[in-house]
Amino acid sequence: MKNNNAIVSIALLLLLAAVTWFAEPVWRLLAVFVFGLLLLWTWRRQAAIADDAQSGTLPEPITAGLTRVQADLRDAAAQGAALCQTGAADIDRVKRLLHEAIEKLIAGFGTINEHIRAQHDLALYIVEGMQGGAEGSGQARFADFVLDTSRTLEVFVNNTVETSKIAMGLVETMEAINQESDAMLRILGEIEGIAKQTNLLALNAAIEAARAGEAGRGFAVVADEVRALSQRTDQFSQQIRSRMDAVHAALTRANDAIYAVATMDMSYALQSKHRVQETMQRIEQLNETMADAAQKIERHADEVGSQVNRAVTALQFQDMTSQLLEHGRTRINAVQEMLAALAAEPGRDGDVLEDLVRASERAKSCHAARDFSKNAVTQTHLGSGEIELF
Amino acid sequence: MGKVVLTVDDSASIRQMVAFTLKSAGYEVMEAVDGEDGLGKARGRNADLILTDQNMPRMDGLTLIKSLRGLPQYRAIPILMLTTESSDAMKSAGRAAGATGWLVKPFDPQKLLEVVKKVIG
Repeated sequence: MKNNNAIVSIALLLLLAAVTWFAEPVWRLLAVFVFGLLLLWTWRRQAAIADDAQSGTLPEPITAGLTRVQADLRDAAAQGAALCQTGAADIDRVKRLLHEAIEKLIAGFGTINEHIRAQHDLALYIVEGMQGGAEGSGQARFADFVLDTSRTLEVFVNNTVETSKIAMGLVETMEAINQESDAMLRILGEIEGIAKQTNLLALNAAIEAARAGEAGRGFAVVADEVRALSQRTDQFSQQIRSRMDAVHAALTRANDAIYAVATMDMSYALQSKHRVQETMQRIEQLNETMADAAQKIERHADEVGSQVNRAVTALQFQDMTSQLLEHGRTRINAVQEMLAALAAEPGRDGDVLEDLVRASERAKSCHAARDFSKNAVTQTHLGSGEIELF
Repeated sequence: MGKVVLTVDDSASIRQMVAFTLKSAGYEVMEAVDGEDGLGKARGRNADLILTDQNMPRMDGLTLIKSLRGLPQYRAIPILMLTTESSDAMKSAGRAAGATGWLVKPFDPQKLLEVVKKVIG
């Protein structure tokens, strides 16, 4: 400002010098008069500014400008403080929501963990049942049971097959017996023939003895005896034949029965043996598959358990974030206080400059009153923290 | 009967996680929401192990440890710090106060169990 005045004064001085040099005396007088007036006005103005500065009051336009700036500043600070308040409320809401969600998640994971442990125990129980129980548990091994059943069934089937074979042998023996019995019947026929012949001969002898008269009397007695003997022989032979017939009938029945056993059971038993072998193989495979599946279930249960552990570790982010959010909120609250200090009602004396200085000092003291250096959470990731035993 | 563990933390979720981890391994768990509550509960019933956070309202972890070490029944009971604080200065303050160990959050449930098993069996 002062520089501008000096330039204007020098320019006027030069103009005056030029006019006084070249112009008529009348114009010279006028120029000197105008210059004097200008100089007087400049001096007075500078003296007024100096007076204002000395008395501490600002010139009117500056005061007006400052007042406007102060009003704008207070408006902005009030708006900022209100924003800070909503920001802090938002942070509180985030904290509450996080807390609720994490609480439910942890409870959920807790339940998952319980079920997984139960599943793990069950799988272990099945595996032990398949491959042999723990010592002293008295639990029968399923594999042993399968082996025992297989052996028993095999013995049974083998016995049946063996019985069939024996029955086949018996059929042959029965045929031999039948042949023998036929031979005996033929011999019996011979005996009957001899008896009949003997009877005829005895009859002839008796006739011849009668023709001989007295001399043949003794011979006639012998001939009668021989005839009686031949008749008895024939009777015995009849008796033997009827017995032999009964034996033959019984043998035929036995033969039929044995033949039925020998032919029918053989194929069925062989099929059964094959089926039993197949079934046992299937049961063994099933047993292995089940044991394998149970082991897989056990492994999966372990894996889920360790994943739950990892999830639980990760869920602790809520503890850290809520601490960090709390720090953030403290800072936002501080900003809010500072803005509120800036937006405070100005003093009644109307001294704008003094009001501005007071407001900025209040804001500074708000900041100084708080300690922002402390921050317990220094973690930047969610890996599990270190452990140190003293 | 299972051993009794007292967990002191102002975060409900951390208490919940510590409780569910230790209960699954057969320990009995008491919970306290800050140092002062923890001190009261420890006085009310003898715990075999105390797990405490550091930064809590009313009374912090270090003060709790110092107070507990002043009680005859807690002179030799293990006290573990479970906190987000991981600076060496805090750890040595904990050691000086009488802490048995320092666990930095977040904790892995399996590792927590291993430490607890090592300390109280």
